[in-house]
Amino acid sequence: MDAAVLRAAGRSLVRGSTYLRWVYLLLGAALVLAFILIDSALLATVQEIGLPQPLEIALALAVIALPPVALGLLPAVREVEGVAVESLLGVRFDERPLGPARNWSQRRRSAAWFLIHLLTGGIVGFTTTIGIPLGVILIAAPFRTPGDHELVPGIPYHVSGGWSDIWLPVVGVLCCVLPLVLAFVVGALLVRWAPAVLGPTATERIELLERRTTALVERNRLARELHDTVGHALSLVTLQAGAARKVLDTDPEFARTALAAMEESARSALIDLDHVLGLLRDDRASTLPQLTLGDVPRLVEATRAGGITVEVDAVDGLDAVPAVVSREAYRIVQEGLTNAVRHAGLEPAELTVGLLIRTEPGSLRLELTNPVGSARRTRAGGGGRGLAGIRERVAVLRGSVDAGATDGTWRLAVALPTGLDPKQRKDQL
Amino acid sequence: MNISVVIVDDEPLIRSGLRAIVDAEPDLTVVGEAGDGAEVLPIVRRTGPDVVLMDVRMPAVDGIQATRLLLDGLEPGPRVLVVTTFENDDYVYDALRAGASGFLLKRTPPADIVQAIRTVAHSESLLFPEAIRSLALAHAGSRSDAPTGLDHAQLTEREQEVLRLMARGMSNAEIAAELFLGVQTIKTHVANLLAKLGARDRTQAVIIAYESGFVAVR
Repeated sequence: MDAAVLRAAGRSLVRGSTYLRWVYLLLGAALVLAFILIDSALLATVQEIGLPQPLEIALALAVIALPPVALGLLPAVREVEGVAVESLLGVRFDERPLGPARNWSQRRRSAAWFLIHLLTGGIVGFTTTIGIPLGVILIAAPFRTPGDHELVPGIPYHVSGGWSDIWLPVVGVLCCVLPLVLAFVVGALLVRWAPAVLGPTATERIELLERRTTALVERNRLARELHDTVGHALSLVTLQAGAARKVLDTDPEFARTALAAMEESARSALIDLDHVLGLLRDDRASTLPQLTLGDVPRLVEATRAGGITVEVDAVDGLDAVPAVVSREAYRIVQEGLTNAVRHAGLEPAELTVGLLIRTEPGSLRLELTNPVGSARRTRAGGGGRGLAGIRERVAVLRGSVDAGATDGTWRLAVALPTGLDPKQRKDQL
Repeated sequence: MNISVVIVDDEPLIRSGLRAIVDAEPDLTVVGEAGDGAEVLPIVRRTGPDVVLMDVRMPAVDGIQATRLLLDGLEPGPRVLVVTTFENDDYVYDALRAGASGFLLKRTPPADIVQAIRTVAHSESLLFPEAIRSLALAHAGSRSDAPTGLDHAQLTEREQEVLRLMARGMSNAEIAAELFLGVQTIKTHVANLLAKLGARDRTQAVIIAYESGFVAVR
């Protein structure tokens, strides 16, 4: 044997991971043992039926294969194997924790993994149950009375009582070590295969990522809403109360106004809190069909119904935009239109909003423009909430926002990354 | 010495509350108000306040941009005290990096608000050294443009010592007592090290000290 291979085998024995792999494989072996017990009873029955031999073999194979396959197809197997593989083999899946199988593709792959587990576990378990007792017998052999003995019935070995017996314990130690080295090697293969067989596929990973992003956007939105409404109102109340207390004797009129302002702020904060708590309590919001860029035409129609002119300049092929980006883009357009209507300071009939949607390699570009009336006045408080919301959405997707008024035109420009385009991707490989 | 104050906040009720608190002090006077960062520069030009109380989030021009505008556009600019709803606001640190001298929570009790204004106006000690330290801790290493060392600033050993004590929030008088030196000597050291670091005030110098790793954030 190569010296390097020997050294690697030696190192595997002192690693904790080897023993964890061994445990994982022995679990497979224990299951195999259970199946063998069932099979032996069933196979005896099959034999008794007295079918023609090919049919009997086919039936026997079915009896052997059916229980593990059927068990492997159970959705929970993915979850159980996921926990075992993570904790005993130290594999880190992209989906954590690995959930039960959600579709037939996952079920099939979990069943395949289950069979691999049984097969490899069976081999290592068999080697273990044979190798270790054999090894112990051989290590103890030099201490036996000289003469012929049997390892197992039919396999003799000779004890001479001299130095020529030295090979017996050497082989014995090898017999004990072999199952562990095998567990190390087989375990290494399993570690390599697990993510591909048991873990999420590329498509599922993207789905997971999208779901996580959506949840993150939603959570950020709630946090921002709490910050903007309740946080704002409470600091206002605190400040006004402090001021009122300070000037109570010198300026009772201010104190009176402050009390009224506090009452009003606290009341509206409670209403806002009610709303946010409603969103938190109610998961329906997240299960409602999410609107995407494909729904923008309807949004534009609704805006036009309010008497506002909307000039749309959108490209085709928006379906190719990733779902998360598309959903957020819809929300941005929605908030942008609302802002234009609310803050332009123009009558609906006078207001013309320009909406531009463009796809560029690797990014999606949105642009909303509208003239700003001379009577423009931002609503006090919360005036920037719409824009803050847009910034928040864009920040989560790592895009960029540019907003501001020049020469009487308010312009909101947003760029959202949509991932690499195929050409760029090829260049990178 | 009378300290003049300009209040910038998009919420009129916050402005009126702050004005009542500030105006009730004999040594403080509100000389102007603005409802947006965009209106700050002309008002400050006209009234020349010592301290600007600056809200962070405002509709058109936010507090960070407005702070930058003020400090780039005016020499010497006023001290900027950022007023925020929440302590763990990312914008607060951005505002400090933009040159604000300190920050203040809207929930701070009135007595502390006026004390903070005085501290910032006189710039003799650091406002809320603990909060600045934890902000620096939260942001250390996340900035690619953070200075990598203070070697190029070539501070003398004494100046380094003073900078370390400044980061702990000590006033000039306290540093003088600690080092057995005169207050005037400390003032000279502080002025020299501010000039060497290119810092506007103590807050800026301490932020540079934390970001460069000169003062360990532990």
